[in-house]
Amino acid sequence: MLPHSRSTAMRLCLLTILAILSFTTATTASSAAAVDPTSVREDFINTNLHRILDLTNPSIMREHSTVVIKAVNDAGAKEYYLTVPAEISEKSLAVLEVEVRQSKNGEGVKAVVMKDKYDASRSAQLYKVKLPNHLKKDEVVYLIINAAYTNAVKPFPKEVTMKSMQHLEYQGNAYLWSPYRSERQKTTVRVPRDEVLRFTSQPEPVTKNGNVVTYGPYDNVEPYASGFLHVHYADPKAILVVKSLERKMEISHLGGNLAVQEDYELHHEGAKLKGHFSRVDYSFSQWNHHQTNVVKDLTITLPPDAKHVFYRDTIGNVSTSNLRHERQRSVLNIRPRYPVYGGWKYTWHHGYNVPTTSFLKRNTEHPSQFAFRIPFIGGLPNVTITKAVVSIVFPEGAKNFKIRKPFDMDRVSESTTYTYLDTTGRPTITFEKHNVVDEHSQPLLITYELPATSLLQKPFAVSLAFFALFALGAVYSRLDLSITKDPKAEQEQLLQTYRSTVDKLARAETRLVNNLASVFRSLKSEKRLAEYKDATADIEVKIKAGWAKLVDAAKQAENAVLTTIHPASSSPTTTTKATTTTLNGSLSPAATFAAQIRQLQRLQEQRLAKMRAMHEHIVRATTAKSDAKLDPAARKELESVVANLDREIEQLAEQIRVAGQKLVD
Amino acid sequence: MLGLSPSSESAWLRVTVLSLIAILAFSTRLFSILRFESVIHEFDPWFNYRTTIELVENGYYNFVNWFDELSWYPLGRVVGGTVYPGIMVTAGLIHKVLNWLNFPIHIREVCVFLAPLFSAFTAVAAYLLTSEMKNTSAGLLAAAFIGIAPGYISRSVAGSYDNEGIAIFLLVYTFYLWIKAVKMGSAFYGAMTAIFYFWMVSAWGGYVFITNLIPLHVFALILMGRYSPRLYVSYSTFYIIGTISSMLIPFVGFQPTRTSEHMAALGIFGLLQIIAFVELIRSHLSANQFQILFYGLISGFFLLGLAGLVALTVGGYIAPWTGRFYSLWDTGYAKIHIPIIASVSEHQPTPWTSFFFDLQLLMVLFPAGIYFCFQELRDEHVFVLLYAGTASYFAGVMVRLMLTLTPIVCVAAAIAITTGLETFLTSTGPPPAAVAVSSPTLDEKKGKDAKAAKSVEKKQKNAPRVKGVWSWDAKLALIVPITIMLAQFAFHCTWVTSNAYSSPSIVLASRKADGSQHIIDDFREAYYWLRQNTHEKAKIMSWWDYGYQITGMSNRTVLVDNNTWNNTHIATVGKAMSCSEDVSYEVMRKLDVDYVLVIFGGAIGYSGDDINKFLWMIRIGEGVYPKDVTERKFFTERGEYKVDEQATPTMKNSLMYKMSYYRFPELFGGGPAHDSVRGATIPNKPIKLTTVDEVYTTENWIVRIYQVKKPDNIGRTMSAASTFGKKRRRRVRKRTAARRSTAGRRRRQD
Repeated sequence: MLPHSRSTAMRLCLLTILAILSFTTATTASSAAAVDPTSVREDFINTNLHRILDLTNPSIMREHSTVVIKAVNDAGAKEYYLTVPAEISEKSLAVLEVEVRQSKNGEGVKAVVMKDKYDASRSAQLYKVKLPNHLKKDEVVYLIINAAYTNAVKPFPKEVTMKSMQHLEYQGNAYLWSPYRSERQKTTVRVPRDEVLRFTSQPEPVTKNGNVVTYGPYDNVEPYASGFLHVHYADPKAILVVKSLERKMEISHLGGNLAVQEDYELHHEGAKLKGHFSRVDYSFSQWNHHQTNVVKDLTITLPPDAKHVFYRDTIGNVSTSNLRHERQRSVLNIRPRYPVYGGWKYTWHHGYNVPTTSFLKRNTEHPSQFAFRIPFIGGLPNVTITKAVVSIVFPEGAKNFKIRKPFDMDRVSESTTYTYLDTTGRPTITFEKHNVVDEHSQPLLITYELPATSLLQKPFAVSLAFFALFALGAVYSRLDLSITKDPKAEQEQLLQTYRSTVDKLARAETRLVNNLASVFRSLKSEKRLAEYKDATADIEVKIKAGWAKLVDAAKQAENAVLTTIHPASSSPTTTTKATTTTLNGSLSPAATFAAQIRQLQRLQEQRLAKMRAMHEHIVRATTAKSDAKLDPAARKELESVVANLDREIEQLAEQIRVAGQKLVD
Repeated sequence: MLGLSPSSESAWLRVTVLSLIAILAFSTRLFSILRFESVIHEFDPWFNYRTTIELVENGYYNFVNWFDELSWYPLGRVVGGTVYPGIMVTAGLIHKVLNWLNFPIHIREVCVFLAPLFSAFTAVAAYLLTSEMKNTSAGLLAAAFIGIAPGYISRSVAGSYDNEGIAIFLLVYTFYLWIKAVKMGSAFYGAMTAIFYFWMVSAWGGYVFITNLIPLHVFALILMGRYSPRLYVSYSTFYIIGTISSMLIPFVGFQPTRTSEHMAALGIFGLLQIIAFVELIRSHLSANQFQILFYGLISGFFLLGLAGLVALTVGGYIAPWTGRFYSLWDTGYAKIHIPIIASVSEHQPTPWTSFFFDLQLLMVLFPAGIYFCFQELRDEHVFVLLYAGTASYFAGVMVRLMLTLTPIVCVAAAIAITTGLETFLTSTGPPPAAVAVSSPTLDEKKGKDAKAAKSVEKKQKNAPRVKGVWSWDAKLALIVPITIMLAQFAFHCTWVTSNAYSSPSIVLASRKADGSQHIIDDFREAYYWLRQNTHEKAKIMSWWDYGYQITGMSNRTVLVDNNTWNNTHIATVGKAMSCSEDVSYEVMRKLDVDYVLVIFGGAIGYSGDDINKFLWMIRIGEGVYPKDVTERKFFTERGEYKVDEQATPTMKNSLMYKMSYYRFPELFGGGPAHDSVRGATIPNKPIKLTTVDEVYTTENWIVRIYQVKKPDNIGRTMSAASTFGKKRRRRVRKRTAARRSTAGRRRRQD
């Protein structure tokens, strides 16, 4: 206890010196400018005032004040002023809201609070509260002032061991720092536990009851009165400060999906770890961890229908997380890679997908108008966020944005984001705000227009790209970039066009032959072989026409090659020589091709002839059978002839197949 | 099938099958992603990943000029000049193109999926190469083999972002282009070979294999009397463009003209010029004159060249072979001269089992394929033979080089199976003598097995029963076993991939009692702790294995890392780990060490920990500091390596031992402290650390981090300072305790 009180005493000394110094500067300043009209105000008095300093949350200090104000001027007044020390206003004040009530428990009206002048003499920042009604003389209203401060409490001692309790201290003013005179006021300090090491007992009366320390009530407090208030109390909770939060949301109309990702950089600013971390001590003191300021896990609230939840950090996925769905919300419980002790930090990002149904509404009158409503922050409560950057990515083609902010932002900017298959990019609105606390999880409302046609932009762009690709391919395959023409390749290319026709003809022929065979078979089974000739005449004509076409094709191919290679030469005899035999004496491709076609045609002719012959034999045999008995020797001979023919036809068919393939390759 | 002509139909079929194989090759490598996450694996990939990020963020020129002060403290590392930039540039380019097309894929994903992607390309390259050797059906088979062969998968699973990941594709494709060039005598293909060779040089040190194999091929062809203008054109084009472009890589620089590894290529280039010259003269001279000139010229040139080479080597213009190459000839070399190379497990000679583990069926088919190559022995088959011979030798010497053997094994096995199947399936019977029409050649029937088989069936209805190779039972006797073996092979490959090669090694998995997976993430826990909670400039000492991971994941300076170029520096760290605290403290102070990181598996049974690697630290340390470190002293009288009661005093006093077992017995609450890796009981006597403080130990004790204490204010040794303080404090405590106890007694008396 001794060193503590000594240091407090020293601090008191310092504070007095500072106070004196500031007082002297103030007096010199005021002597220069006779009376500062903003300093002390007399249009109101605070008739009754109760202030509660809520220290139960180590990261955020909340101040709830109920002030009964009375207008004292004859003219009455409409503007009430609040003062906050400049330093606190700049660095620590996160929220300042005022509600005006006509009676203590009556309906409240939110009043507009504006930052006003800066009082240099007292280094005080003034805030102007616009009351909803002009107050006449002696009229009374209730003001409910809610404020939240960050960095308000500090750990003392600054370092604790792994197993010991953390203590925090708060320093402030026992009075409300007001430019008005107060008739009666009281300040209540609420700390998380009964265990309060020390609290200033001046100005009297000061009482402690459980976890509540009460200063006052005081009567007739002068404007800008100050009384040093200091509370030193036990609190095992960590002071968590998110130095940077980046929250990115992406709306997809096609998928009806909202993708959210949040990047955190979390610092533990509670009492630092004294000595070093020891795993043995850590595991053997498991049952005492709630007594120390170690952070083992964090609970993050997500929308109830969140899915595809992930939790990663810079070096990969962290497997120690747990997600459970409840009716009103989903709870993501994450465990950092290591227990976070005082002075340590941890960074991570998590994200999820959620259907847009609960965030995005379509205007029923104007179907292309949409309203998007989402909390500014949310998820991890009870932390201070030093800097929050929230960006919302809208679908491609969205325009005419109207933004309704629940509070002032430090910066709002627009940009364009490009992601998968974007062409014109997605409009993005980025909000930036410093010093953010739980109270800021109020909804942002953004309305925008998205014409139905822009939904087609993406498929259109993709098909256009593919079309371009194919078109390019088509053009490229027709380009000839060779320096010298290769006559062989040239011919080959030309012949390629004939190959397909030849292939078709060859296939048609085979089909017709098969057809012929099947007609024969069916006639045979029906014992109508006499009609065979008539039935197949038609097919035969077709086959022969095919042969003629084949021969034609062969000739055409030859001629075409001749005319393209030597279009100028008039005498056909010389050109034939030149192309059919090249320098080496081997046949030119065109000549080979023609020869192959002719060969194929010959084979086909052979096959048909053989087939015919076979059929004839069988027809003769069957007709003979019906007339008279065939003697066994002749029958056997006939059978062998037929079998031979059949085998030959098979072989020919195989050869034709091969020849046809050779032509195509 | 599609109403197309047979040729385009088979082309479509081929494309479809090949793309399916490529997809299979890609997806079979994704086990670790499905099981764990998309994360960079192991050790070296972390360095590649870090440099890729540097490249992507700061551009190519900054990357080439990058001086990395995080590694090799206090020396640092000129990354641009000491790295093969191929893989980083490849990944960076892919990333850039995707981003340019508005696909904002994170560079990590590009890196993780790079190796599987290139494996798919490798399958295509193997298809092309084998098609040149045999035919397209063999090509498809080879593509399928290389797509799933574990020997290749071992280095190309998703997350294994290492040079080999793209190098094997480049190797196979370069060889394909080379074969094409030789076949056609085309300068275009020669130039393409050179360009892919350049890519390969930029990607992997194994490019030396190409540098020597292609000249060897040329040389063999010349010896076989197969010199031709085609050979001259292709090799000359390849060599000139390839060599000049390879010298653009800063790490390679003038090596192609100055080191012995590259001399063979240069020599063959010269030889080709001479031969071409001789050929030219021969066409202008009579045979007699030519004879005289020939001997004079050839021997003169040869002697001149040899003398020049020797003179340059002696004069120091050409560097002699490096130690790594000697270790390729003599497997015992490294153990004696360069323990650091021998300490890497992948540099050990390959055990026989691992051939079968990695290649299974292919290993059996490999010789058959080689035999069939001998049968045909065209120019490209000579290449296969040479490749197979050299790669088999190297794969036997070093486990790691199994990788270069795998492609050729796949090619040879595919040739073997295809030849076998063709012999049995496409021959339709004894050659028909009766038909006079020009008989179709065998060649045209290849690759149309199915159709041929159909026609065979048809034929059998009419023809008399055939025997021998042509009978259906013989065909069945071949097809059924081959089908079974191939299916078995596929199962084996999947099993090996899933069980042996798909662990990221920075994340470990175990099974809980209920069978669910439990992830052990101690490495990242410790690395992330270092990243977040230590000073940015902190220097971390650990064994070199973890260097890349610490710089990659913790973003902190390390003393040594996996780029083991400086043996002395590593030995210094080895010395610091193996000496007593006071000696180590001096070393650590000199090296500005702030934190020491050790891996300790005793608590959970992780066998790859530092105590098991300790012998190598001692050996490497002894190699440079024989006065301070003696390996013998770490063994007991009976020559055993012990960590329990019987451990030698040197062992017990070594920094590594102390840091590993510091407060370990306390875990067991007074019972026998059981080290589950070594099955030893650690003495319960508390270990006192005087020069370092424990600052962090991970959940399962795998990583332990210690902070080096500040030196004593009045210049005592740390041990003296600590005992001085302790004694005094103890006395004080005793006294107060005594007082308190007497006070208590008094109170009780009251």
